Amino acid sequence: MYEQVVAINVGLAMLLAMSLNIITGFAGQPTLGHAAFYGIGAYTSALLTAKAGWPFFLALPAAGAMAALVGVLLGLFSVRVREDFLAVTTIGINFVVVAIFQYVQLFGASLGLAVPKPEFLGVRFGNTEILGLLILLNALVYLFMRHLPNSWLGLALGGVRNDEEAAASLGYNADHYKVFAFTIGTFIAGMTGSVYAHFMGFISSTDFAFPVSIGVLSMAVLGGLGSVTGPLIGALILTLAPEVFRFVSDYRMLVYGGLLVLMMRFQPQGLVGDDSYLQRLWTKIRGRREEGKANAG
Amino acid sequence: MPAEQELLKIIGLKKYFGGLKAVDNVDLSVKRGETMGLIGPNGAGKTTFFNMVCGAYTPTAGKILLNGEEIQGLPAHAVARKGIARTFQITRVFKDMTVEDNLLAAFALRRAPGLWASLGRSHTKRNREEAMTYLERVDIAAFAKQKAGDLSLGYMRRLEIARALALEPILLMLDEPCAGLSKDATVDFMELVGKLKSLGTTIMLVEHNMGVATALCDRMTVLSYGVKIAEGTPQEVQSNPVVIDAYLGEAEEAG
Repeated sequence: MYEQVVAINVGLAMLLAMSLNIITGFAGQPTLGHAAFYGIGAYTSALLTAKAGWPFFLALPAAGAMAALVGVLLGLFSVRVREDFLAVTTIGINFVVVAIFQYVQLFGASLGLAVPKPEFLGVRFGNTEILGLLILLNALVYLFMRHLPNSWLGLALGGVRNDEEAAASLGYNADHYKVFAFTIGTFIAGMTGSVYAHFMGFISSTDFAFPVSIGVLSMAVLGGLGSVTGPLIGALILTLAPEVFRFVSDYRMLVYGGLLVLMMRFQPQGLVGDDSYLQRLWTKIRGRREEGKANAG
Repeated sequence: MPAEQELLKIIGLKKYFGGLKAVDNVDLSVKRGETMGLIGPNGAGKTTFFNMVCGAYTPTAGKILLNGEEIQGLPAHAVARKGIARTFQITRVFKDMTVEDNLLAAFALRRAPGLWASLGRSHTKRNREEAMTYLERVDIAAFAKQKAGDLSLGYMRRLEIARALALEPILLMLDEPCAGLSKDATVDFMELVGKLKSLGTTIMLVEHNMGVATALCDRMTVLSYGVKIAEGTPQEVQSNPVVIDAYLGEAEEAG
């Protein structure tokens, strides 16, 4: 069913945007190669199920773990480089990972990999089951994101994002928290890759190329980096837009690139980020409504 | 002076940047409950000295003993965990976070040390109420919900001090806390430090301004060109001809 497929794409995009938001939005570490981890998860899950005969429900967390392992390495590296160099480094990682998928026989090289449909308790996973799983994963990650601003981790990442030296003066080892953010964010991206692989039934290296990373970043930026709901809204808009408007589908990269430029210039906090036009409007409406209530009472 | 009264003891501390001796062989001790001033003309090495104690710089040589334990060369976050809290000459509040969150961030060291504990909830009623008591202590409770970056410089300084106090440090280190403040804000600030002193807080204060330092400190150490040139009560230091020379020399150069 067409609607189901679109909903699945929205669900995948939301998970990716939220996971990027942990690293770039909350911890303030710019990454431009998030699709690499999405791909590592997808290929890990594909190999484990197709070649090693693992059941999908073991391959799913394993895909997350493998992506997180590489994420930790990148995190350890990020500790040593300044933010602008980190951004460039992550682009490089994206290209290297895609090249490995493309040229190494184990990963099917240019032919790609066929991925078996998951089975659970005798039920073969169709799109309905995949969608159900995505809703569950989105709900879990969203609950985590809602918790984050009210958690010690959220405060620690806020400290690291704002001023590492000041965070250190409060006893935070900034390096640990950066690596931790990379671990969580890349773990979620890896799991998302696993779901993608089993939904598609076939993966190839271009599915995880640099433009995919830019797409995910555009979603997070459009909605609002560092806001809890922003990336969800960004993912929804940018996944639906090509379905609704033909021209967006034809000029996808132009739209992503243009949006990044416009958002950075006019609304860097995103559509629903702190003190954005929409958020101010919402506060105003709510204020008026409460005023109305007070007057009525 | 009995040894157990000495909270901080520094022996032969040196920091060389290439051929420049920024701090050369300085001894210093801070007793429990006292306010020690570290003063000297511009470029005397005060901030370098301060940064070594806080872990921002590694000393070239020398020892820093906190309660008898060597802490020289530890990274800044480890020094904070040993009980030394600091403020910065140019304030470093977390600008995009609320005043309350800035304060709560300082509780983690006591309430949620380590990565796994950091997944726990920080904004509990108890923590928020406690955060308010620290904000009240420096008279900025009214701004709890505001972005820290929207505060005036004087209030940012207060927030930074509240945040440092929330670590419940055994030693509070202030790096030129009155730099850039208006006259009124400076007077307010001196009152605040007086209040902290009366509560028994041990303070080390780096200050360029002799007037502020004289009013606040129990004892002072004077640096000039990286070397300690005098130590004593504010009265003793002020009447010391070597100190007068160092400061006058600066005035002449400036004039």
